[in-house]
Amino acid sequence: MNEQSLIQQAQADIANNGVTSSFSQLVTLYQARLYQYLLARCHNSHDAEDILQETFINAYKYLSSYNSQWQFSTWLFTIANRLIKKQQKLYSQNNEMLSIDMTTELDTVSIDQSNIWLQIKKMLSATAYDVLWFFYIEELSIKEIAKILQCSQSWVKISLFRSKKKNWLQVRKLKFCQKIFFWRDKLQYEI
Amino acid sequence: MKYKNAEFRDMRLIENKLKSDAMAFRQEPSAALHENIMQNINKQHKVVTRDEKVFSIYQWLVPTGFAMGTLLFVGLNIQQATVVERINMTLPSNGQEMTAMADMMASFKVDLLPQTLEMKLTNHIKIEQQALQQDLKYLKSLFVL
Repeated sequence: MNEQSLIQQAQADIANNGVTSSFSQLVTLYQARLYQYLLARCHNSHDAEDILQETFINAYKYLSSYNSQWQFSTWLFTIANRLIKKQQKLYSQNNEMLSIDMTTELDTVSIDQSNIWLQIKKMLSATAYDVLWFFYIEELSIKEIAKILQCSQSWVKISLFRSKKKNWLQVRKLKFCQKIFFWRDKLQYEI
Repeated sequence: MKYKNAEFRDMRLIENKLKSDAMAFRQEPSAALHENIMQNINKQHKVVTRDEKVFSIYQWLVPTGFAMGTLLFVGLNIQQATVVERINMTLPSNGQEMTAMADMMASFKVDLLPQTLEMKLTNHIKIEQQALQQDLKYLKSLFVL
């Protein structure tokens, strides 16, 4: 059974008697991708799990309003993205952001601190981070990214270009530093 | 997007690094989490259906209750006789006859005047007769005396 027929089946089931077996298949199909994005975005397994649950519950509730002109993953990512923003707003209201940021580093299990996504998070805004993720990892089109982030396509393009440029500059800077260190070590050795 | 050679190499490097480092976040969510999601969805479904049932009861109860209340109010406050009168006034028993009469009256408008004069004359004669009879009675009583 392909994706579209599975969604139609789930919609029909929910409308009739609420049998969740077809929806369970949808959850199995998308949970890994969504969880990966949420882990990268939240850097906290507890938050990621909470948002994952909330996303699928919302998807179940509003499955009848799903527009098939978009990919199902686009729709799920839109819900997840909104939930993340909602949670961040809640944290900032409760002044818990600081404590969460401190724990995220510890909670991100087996993620190396030199991981480029951790570096990017410090360097770029949350939306620019999302643009990079959806473009390179999820390989979504500009149109779909714009739909998820509720912004124009030109804005997505600009954001992507600026993020790349920042990363490139960072890499150049790193390379330059590496060269300096290399020559310094060499000179010290010779002296 | 076209890059210069050095830039291209760097950009490719970054893209590859982005893809490879993203793999670090690739962790399968636990089976318990999937179970939990499905349990929550089932619970949610139950809540939704219960809400819908309550809503459907209210949907029927409110309008029927309102209609019954209005009927009771009308029944208690307006007497049956007045209702019947009003019905008789507004709805004539034989509508067709009434309209035919009205049409006839309109067509004989010219003849109406003499008819009324005749009626008045007959009435006047009757009154005169009654007066004469009373006078006769009075005269008779005088003769008796």
